[in-house]
Amino acid sequence: MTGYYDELLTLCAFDEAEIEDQRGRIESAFTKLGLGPADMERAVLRVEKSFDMELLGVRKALGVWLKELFDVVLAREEGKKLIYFGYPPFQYIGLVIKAATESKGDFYIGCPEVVLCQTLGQIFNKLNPVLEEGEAKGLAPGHAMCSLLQIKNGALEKGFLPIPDMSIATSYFCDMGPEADELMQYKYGYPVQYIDSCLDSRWGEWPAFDPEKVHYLGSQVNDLFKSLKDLFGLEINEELWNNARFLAGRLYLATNQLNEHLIADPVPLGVADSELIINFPMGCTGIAMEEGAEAVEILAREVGERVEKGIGVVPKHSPRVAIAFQSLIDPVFNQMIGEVGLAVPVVAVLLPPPPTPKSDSYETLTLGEKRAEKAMYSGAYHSSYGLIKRMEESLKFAEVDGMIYNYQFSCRPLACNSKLLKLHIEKERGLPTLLLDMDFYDDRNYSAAALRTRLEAFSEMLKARKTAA
Amino acid sequence: MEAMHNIKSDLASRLALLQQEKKKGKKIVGYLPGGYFPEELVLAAGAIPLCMIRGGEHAAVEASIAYVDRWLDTFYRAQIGYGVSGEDPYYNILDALFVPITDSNNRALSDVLAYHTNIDILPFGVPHTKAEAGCQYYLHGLNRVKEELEKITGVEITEQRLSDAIQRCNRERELLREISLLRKSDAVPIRAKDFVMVNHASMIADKEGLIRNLEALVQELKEVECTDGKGPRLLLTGSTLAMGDHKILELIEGAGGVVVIEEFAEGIKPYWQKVETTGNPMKALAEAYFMDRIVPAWFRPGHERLAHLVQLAKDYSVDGVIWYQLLYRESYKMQSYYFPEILKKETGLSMLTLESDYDPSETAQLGTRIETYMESLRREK
Repeated sequence: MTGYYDELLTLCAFDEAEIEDQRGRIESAFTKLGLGPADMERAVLRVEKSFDMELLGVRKALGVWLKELFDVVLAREEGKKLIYFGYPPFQYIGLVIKAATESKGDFYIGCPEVVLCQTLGQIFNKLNPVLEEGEAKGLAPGHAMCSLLQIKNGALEKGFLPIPDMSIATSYFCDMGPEADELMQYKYGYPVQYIDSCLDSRWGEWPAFDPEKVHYLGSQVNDLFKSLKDLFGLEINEELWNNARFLAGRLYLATNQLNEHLIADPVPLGVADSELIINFPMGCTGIAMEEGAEAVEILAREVGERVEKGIGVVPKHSPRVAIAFQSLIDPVFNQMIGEVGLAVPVVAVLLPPPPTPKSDSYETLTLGEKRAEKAMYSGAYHSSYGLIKRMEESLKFAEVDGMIYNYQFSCRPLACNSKLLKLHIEKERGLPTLLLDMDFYDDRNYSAAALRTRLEAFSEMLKARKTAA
Repeated sequence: MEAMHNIKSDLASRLALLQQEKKKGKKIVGYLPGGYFPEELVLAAGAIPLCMIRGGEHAAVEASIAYVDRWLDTFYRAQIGYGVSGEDPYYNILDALFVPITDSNNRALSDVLAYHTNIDILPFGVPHTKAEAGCQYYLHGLNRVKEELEKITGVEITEQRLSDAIQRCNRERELLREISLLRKSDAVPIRAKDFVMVNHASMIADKEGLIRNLEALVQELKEVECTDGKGPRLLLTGSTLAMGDHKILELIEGAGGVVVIEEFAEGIKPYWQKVETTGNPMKALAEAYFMDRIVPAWFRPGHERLAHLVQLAKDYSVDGVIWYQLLYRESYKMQSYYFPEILKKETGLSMLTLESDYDPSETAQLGTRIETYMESLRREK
């Protein structure tokens, strides 16, 4: 028996037995999402054009995202309870909850809008109807509303995503996430647990922090633990938190190996392909932890072989830039950076967090407070200055000639400090920095051609500087 | 009305007086509006509080674009424009600027001014959830403010000094409340423009002088023969109603509407709560300013505000609601989507949503929409 989706799934490294075994689920999920034969044909062409399909790691990564899609879309009818968390997640909160449910096995925990980006966006290019629905039902267009939240809102409206049993919103880094959750709570009635704090540090304070901030944020995290226990009987403790790290350990290890290879000259992997793995730990807690880790291990090995052979996606000695983020839905943009002759050895958000010190009182803190203290060092959850310093630190990972701070225009925490970031990086590191305002989740909000022109000009400028040097 | 004339006159000469006070060695302490900065602390430190409440000028918004992306609330872009210009007399006169950090908009302001100006920027946090832990963190922030003020002024903020200041500010709130309650009557004794001006004055003017003027104003309003107030009665709500942002009130009045009550996160000083005068005054401030304060839209959850609006609509017998928000204040935009349904269900009233970027070219469009809304309300009546 064959299905209209077999070619795509095979291309995405599903094996025959797997397809046969899952056929009912696959068809059910695609039907729910309104994806038919024509969509599959277009998707085959799109992935072949957009990604390095010679690499098994890339194909497997695409396959993992499709499996995550099936899992979330079918979660309710398969009798699972659903807990959604906002993006970016606080620490690895989803994994911790996942670890707590290990023996229960009847939960879906994840950030479903990210799964939709990676599949309906990257693979099918069919997010626009979802975005339009999200705009029409509360997150209006033209007001710089976060398109990731429009996707969540639209997907709930269209029935692509099941209504969750709880949503977790970090309510200080991003204002719009918890506000959108409140809107959706109004519409669908699901409980929202807010993790609140205040980014009220003075300019220049990071990494120093006020212990009271740890205390407050910690109390919010502890409140979440209490709600999880009250609502679902899930017990979160220190041992469990440590176990959660092991859940993702294999994935992080493989990602770090890949990062080490990416700094080679010539750079061996393009941005469109490395994007496929970045959100495994940020958006998923399920199959991506095992099969995603396997995909990244394979990818790291394949990329390592390229490095040994001196194979690159752009010529050796191309200008090297660090980029801040990648598009979650648009391989055209992600590919464009290489197409204009820029090598990308560093993607800031792909790098592992630096080791964090512990305060003198660390051992006396509650579990929530310990996580809060760790979060202070992440930069972004500390202050704009902290975020900028972390971006600056990413530049130490590899020799680069410049930086591209590409940012989500409608994400206030990323957008409102963009000009300060440019000034800071150029002053402190002496590196030309290009500000590229774009949309990671909605390609209707920018002109790819206009971005290309700016990237080309930046690339030419860096080439001229290299030649002059 | 003589009292009103005096308040206007005091406001007009305020900057010159502040400059004189500064020359005499008085410290002038700025703060951002939103109702989370207790002026009591500044008064208790013997300094002069000054709210950065001006807005409505498109030129200031335009001036910000070199420093910050445009996807920021209009009012805060205007503040950045004023602050970075180096030519604004209100920003130039400050010895320090306290910024209650409530969302990304004023956080951006705090960062940009800290980076680009020599103003001493002092942020402190306002949690977004009304709970004991949040109140404790807010109190911690107020204690930081107190310490900074003591450093700036060299004056110890004793319990006695603070209690005295609380009593003065309570009196001011009480008078504003009294005037506001007079507007419940069918014959509204004060125009919205004047009430808003008086409220703005409470953030700018000398406290003692204003209290005297407000006391006189209350008496005058009780005696005034009122002829206005025949048009549709309105609740005007939104994110920010800055001093100088006259357009909306003028258009409503021009179309025959009568605003009888305003509710704004920024630009209308909250006057419903009273600070307790017994017990620890710092705790009393935190209780009143954080726990008792009706939350703005960026609280999580924010439905307390929506319930308050419904109650105001009923208490002030309004015929309609105008929701006036500034561009890119996403929390208000989001609530404006689902509040009309709540409002209709609870009161049967309709709502008109308007937005502004302080752009003069908006005026005609806003006017048309307001006129149409007034006409529909008249027909409903």
